[in-house]
Amino acid sequence: MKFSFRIGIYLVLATTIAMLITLGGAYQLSVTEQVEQASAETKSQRILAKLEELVSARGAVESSTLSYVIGRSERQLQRLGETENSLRIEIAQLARLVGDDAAQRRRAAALELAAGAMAGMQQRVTQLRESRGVAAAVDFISGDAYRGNEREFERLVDEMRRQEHALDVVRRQGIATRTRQLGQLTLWSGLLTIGLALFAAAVINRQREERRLSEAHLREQEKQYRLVTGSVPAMICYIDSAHRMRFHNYAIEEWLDLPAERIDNHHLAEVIGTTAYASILSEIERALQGERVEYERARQGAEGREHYLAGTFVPDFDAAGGCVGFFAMILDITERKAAEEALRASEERWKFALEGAGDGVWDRNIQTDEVIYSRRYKKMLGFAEGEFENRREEWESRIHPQDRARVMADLEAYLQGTNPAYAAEFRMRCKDGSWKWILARGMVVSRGPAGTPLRMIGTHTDISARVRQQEEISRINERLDLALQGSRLAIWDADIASGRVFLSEGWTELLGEKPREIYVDFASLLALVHPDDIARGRAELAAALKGTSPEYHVEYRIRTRNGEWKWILSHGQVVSRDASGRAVRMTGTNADISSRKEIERMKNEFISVVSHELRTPLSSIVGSLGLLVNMQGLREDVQTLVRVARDNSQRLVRLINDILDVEKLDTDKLQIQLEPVELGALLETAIQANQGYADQYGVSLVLTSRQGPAWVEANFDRLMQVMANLLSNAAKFSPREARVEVRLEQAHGAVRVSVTDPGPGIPDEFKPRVFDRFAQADSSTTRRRGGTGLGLAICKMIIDKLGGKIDFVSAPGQGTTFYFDLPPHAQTAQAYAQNRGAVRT
Amino acid sequence: MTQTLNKILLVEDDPDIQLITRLSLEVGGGYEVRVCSSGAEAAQIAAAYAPDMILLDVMMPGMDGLATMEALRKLDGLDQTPMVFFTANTQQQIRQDLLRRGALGVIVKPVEPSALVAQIRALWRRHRNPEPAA
Repeated sequence: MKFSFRIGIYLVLATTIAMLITLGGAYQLSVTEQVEQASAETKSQRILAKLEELVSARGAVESSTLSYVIGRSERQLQRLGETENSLRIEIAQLARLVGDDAAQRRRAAALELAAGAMAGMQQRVTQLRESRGVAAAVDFISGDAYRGNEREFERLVDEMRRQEHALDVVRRQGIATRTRQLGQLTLWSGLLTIGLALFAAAVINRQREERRLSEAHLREQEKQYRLVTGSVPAMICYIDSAHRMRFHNYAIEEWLDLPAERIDNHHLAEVIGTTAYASILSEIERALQGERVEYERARQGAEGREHYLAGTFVPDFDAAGGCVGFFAMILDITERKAAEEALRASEERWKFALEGAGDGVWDRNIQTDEVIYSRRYKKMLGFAEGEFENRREEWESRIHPQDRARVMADLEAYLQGTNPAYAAEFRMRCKDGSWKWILARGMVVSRGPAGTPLRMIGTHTDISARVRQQEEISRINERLDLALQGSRLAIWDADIASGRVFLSEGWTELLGEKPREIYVDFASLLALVHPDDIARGRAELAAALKGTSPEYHVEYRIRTRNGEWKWILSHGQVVSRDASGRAVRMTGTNADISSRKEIERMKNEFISVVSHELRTPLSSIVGSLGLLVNMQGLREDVQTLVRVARDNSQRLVRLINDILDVEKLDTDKLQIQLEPVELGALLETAIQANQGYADQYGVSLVLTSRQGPAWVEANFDRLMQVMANLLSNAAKFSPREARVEVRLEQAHGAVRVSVTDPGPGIPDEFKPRVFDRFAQADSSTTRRRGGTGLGLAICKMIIDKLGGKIDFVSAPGQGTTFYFDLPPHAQTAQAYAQNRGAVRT
Repeated sequence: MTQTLNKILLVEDDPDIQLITRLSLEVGGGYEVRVCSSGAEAAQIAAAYAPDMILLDVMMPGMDGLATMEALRKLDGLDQTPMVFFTANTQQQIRQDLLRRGALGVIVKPVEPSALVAQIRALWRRHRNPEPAA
């Protein structure tokens, strides 16, 4: 290539020399100069060529950088090293070539510096590619620093090129002047024409040759460029100011599915279609106005699928600073987009899920402190969409001052990795100035290469209601605790299925331990109970669980820590049952009734002592008076006094007996043993037994009605006691010669015994108090009739205990009927009858 | 075994009750009554006296009624003698306990002289003609 160029040069030289020889060496000095200048000219051409090579080498570095950025393979990295190396070699060669021109030397040195800076930037690009991916690397490549370096490079090359051209022109001008001088000298010579012609031919030839060489060089350069860019998956092309494609890489052909000849030099609209062209026209125009443009578009690929393309247009300026076209780099980011979309969808999903739960969502960029707050987040605090700034400070400033430091510390501890999780409860000021309790939870979802947290997402839950409830509960608990402390009660709460029982502080205190709430199982609780009380407790418990008794109410002893026994009154009820009616939970209280029990015991002892101590002297009085009354020969007035004393002593005995009975019935101490009783026979016996008493009042007792055997399950002695009270009452209140009628009837599923007297009847105002203790219509009656005022109260207590009912009907002046009903006991009666029958036979 | 009730041994520490009971039984019932003031005294004379029935107070200093009964039962000829208790204690449990230990009956103090005689007679009848077991 250079060889043929030199031939042209030599031709010119040969012509000149021939001319000079023809002139006879007259212009010896000029010849020498010409040789020198020709040599200088050749050097200029070499420098210019070297500059072109330099541009090409730099292009190769850029291409291989891009290849590496996209492909990121070891081979590409190696290739990048090689291109950088050859660029350095080219610059070194250039520096040697321009060694004789000071200005050019400086520029070569500057170029060396620029190449060094570029090498540094390549390194940065590879680092970026490693650490932050394609986009960051591409960003850097198209960034100011990188492009500035490029421009600097181009500027230097351009200046050198211009300088070399200038030098060339100066040299050539010198040659032309001297040629003209020579021509004048050889005007007359025929050889002049030949010489000029030869010279012109040489010049023309040289120019043609020059153009040819330049074009070949360009083609070569383009070939290299295409070769490099062809390996890049990005689409790269150059579009000139007329919107024509001037250069493209293989990826463009592949994307458009067009052969190269239908792309280059064709208008862009032809190449990519009018629709696509129209859609990027504004970007093209901006690029041609010198603006760097980036855009993303969805575009249908040749295969029909939709692709996302990311384009970067980098304007290309000529030396005058005018934009002559732009480089376009287009990346198919469909997959990245799909990944982004998937990520976005998944974020949408979790955001939706979180918001669906009523929570507000936040998404914070930790580096910039920008936070995206969800609509619900803002609404929770009373803000509309645009009223809450997307900054961390907006949140922080609204935290209650008393909570802020703690929340910030928690958050910081989490970000530093000291705390494994971030969850904080705090108050936040709403738009209207009120406070809401918020539970914030969050986690870092993205970290930098060094582990620096980059992004954190989380939720806000409005827990105001819960906090209020908790406060309310703790207030209630406090009240309850205070109440329990005062009452010395222990609360228990039993889970029936598991047998776990919760006991409040009072329980351990009661056992003589440090007061504390405990959970124990039923078995260990039972182990504390006095063996004599277990059966009774179990029976009560079973009845309550089964529902046969509405409440659980039992007294038992427990062994305390120091081995003493304490009496407990346990009271409770089933509070929930499952669908099948099985008890699930039971709660109640345990009260220490030891002191009550002690008082009870003392009372019993007292009564027992009193009764004994009263009875013993009374025995002497009753006995003595009884003997005296029947003694013969007493004065009549003495006898009257003795009788009064005897009657009153007898009344005192009855009173003591009745009081003891009431006390026994009251305290359940009187255990009535049930047995089958035939009421007919009982009434006959009762009438016989009480007739003597009735005789004192001149009253006869008559059984007027009796229907067959009437069996009840009762107690013979106790029923006799009831009858004695009813009959003696009837006798006392009947007029003399009257008849007290006793009836036995069976009706309405019950057996009824009634005692009717023809007495004055019970006054209406007294009726409600008939069965009260010590109740008598008027106190004079008591004295006159010799009653204790306890008889009917005892009757009612006994009948109640036997499961019956006692009542009366009375009208003033029309007598009184007392009656009691007992449930019949046919089965027992039958069994009893058979049993007796068996004994008889 | 005697058919009629004639001799009664009364064991009672209270002198007033001793007097009244003795008079009640002698005057009202026409029985011959021998009085002892303690279980120990009763144990000394009971065998020789050979009563038809022994009436015992429950609460006595030294040997109480129950211990006295058990002591007397061991004496010759007294193992079948009916023993009746005399007590101011109305507690059912004590009453049942005494009956279970072999007492014929329990009479609750205070008691009218006539009622005492009536109860003694009834108990003697029951002793003579025991009811068939139900």
